Amino acid sequence: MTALSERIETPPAPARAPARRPARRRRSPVFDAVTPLGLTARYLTLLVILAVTVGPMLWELSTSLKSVFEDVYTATPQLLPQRPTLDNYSQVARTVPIAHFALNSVIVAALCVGGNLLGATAAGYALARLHFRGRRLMLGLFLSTLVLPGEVTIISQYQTVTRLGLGNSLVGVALPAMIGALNVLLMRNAFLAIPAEVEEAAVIDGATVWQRLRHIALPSVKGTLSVIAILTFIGAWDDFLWPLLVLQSPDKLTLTVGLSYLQSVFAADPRIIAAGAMIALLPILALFVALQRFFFRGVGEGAVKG
Amino acid sequence: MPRTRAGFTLAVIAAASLTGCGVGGAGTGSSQQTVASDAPLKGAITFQTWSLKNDKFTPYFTALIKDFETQHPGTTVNWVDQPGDGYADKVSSQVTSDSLPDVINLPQDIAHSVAKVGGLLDLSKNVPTLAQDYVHSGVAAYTYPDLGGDGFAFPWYLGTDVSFWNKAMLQRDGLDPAKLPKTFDELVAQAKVMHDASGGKDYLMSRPPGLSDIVNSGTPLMTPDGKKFDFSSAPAAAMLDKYTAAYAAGYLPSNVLTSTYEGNSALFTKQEVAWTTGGGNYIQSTTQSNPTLAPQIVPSPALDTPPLYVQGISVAAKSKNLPLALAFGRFVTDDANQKAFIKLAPGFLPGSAASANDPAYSKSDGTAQGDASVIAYQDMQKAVIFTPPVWTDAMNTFLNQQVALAMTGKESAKQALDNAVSRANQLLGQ
Repeated sequence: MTALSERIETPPAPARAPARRPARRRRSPVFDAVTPLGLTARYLTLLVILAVTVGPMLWELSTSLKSVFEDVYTATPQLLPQRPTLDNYSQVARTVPIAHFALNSVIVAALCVGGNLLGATAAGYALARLHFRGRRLMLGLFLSTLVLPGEVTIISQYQTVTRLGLGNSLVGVALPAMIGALNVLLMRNAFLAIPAEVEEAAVIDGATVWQRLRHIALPSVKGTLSVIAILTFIGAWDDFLWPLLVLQSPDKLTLTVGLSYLQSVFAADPRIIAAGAMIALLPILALFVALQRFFFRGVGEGAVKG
Repeated sequence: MPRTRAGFTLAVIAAASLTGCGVGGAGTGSSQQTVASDAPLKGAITFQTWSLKNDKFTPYFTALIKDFETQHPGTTVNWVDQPGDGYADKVSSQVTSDSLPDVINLPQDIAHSVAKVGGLLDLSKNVPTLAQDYVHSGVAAYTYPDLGGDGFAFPWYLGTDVSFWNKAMLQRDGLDPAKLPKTFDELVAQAKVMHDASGGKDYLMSRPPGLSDIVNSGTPLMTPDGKKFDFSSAPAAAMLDKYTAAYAAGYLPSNVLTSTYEGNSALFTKQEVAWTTGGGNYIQSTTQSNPTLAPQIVPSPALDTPPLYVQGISVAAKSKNLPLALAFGRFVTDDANQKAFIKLAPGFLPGSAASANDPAYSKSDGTAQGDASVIAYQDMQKAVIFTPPVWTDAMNTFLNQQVALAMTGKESAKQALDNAVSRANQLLGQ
């Protein structure tokens, strides 16, 4: 994800520089002037960061395309496969029912994203704009759950889910992640960033809470919503330990758990594991590309309210 | 990192169930109960293996289960396999939710934590011939003096470490692949030759010292009663000093003490290092990842005492169908089935006594992998388990930090070992 954000931020950098030129006299001339040397340095730095962040992904991609006659681990890694092949991908498809596992993952991720968008919006709006008894206490409770590391609660969480009768079900996998405390706080901050006067005007016009939320607040927080959607999706898609604990029957496994069958004590072909990793990565890339315009607006939104 | 977490959750469960159960161990589901051996076999059980469901082993298990079901009509065995990662966590969740499968494949350390909360059947109470039917080191691995039980699993397959050398690198630096080091001192001497000949580019050694080196220096890790760690001895300090001297002379890559250390086998596959230790099947698995390196690998016996790795088949104490579970556990680990299993896993050895002494394992088929399997067989005869079940990842991390301090000359070897011992005892008391 960081890899992509670097890549996408790259183009605007040179374009922005000339636009700012009129304001230069107020700033340090060294910092703002675009000398050829400075430009080269900027691009070099960006290239280095690009290599560091995208490099491992490319290596994984190249490994997944390498044929069985080629060494995977070498002191001088070869990025281009000598004899590229798609055999590893078909081997993955033969070993595990990839489409079925992917569908399970999509169901879990959709439940988590839906739950967070609805729940975090409702809770965040209530904490930001509604006045009720115990509001501060509620906020404190949300904050305090952030302090608990997941490892401490995972077993008791597991017991809760099995007692609810949701063991070995996809709903059981999604349930604990369907409202994230952090997401509630993000939404609260996003709603707080909208000037209170706007809503007060709406109150005078006779708008109800639902109308204010729907017509005034929500349109201004699309960015944060997309940030939450993407982060929740990635979290649900990548999670390994929790679905491993909850799910028992092989036909219900999510993609990350299912793909781990590619690696065994007696046979671990790094090419096939890399092919599995690439398959698992595709949906995240697709979602990110689809939402990236909103995503960067969302990152900015949170920052304005300093 | 995941292992640390696994250890932690298991500890939490152990604590929770100990306080929760109290003295209620006497009724059904106790680890010390005896199972009627003449009970008729019928019904269904679940059998769980660890990371063995793939093209290679799936046909074996399908045939194995079909065999058993034909021999005992009216029985059903459901096979489940768990992925390699997170197994300790998975097992602990099964323990807490009372859904532990009837027959389970467990390594020695995870079995210990399950046995600690009374989850496993004590097999010595139910199988009088346990000690004769299975190899001694395997049974011993599942005997936990701190829990008062003798044998919480049928030994299944055993593994050990063999030394592997890069022939091309040895020859390039003027070393003879026919005269490989047999002791640690010879290793250091050859590491010097390699270092000098390659101008410091090639390395022979690439492993910082650990628990196994301490044991190999002749130091027992714990006091005779098994209650406390006590491994800060003069020979252990001397061993650490030798490593320090070799490190200072540049015979080990400088990053072995930092977090960027990838492990000796990763450095070996990159051909930066000419020696690694690995399981008996190392050549076979390298053929998969680095086909051009595999023909260059020469196996040799492990230096000093080799480590022993054990996999066992345990029976859950709370199984609803103990007679069938016990019968199936014995069936999986009987001579014929173990032999057939090892055919698929070269470099490993069966845990049943009769098949372990099969002369077939001491004959190589002439390939390097065949030689390695024979060496593994020979190593296995004297292999021991270095890591006591009470040794945790936290203790290991602290030991590694102290070793790093000693090897960079920031404290003396004696001081480092003393610190590691006192910290380990402190963690043990928690």
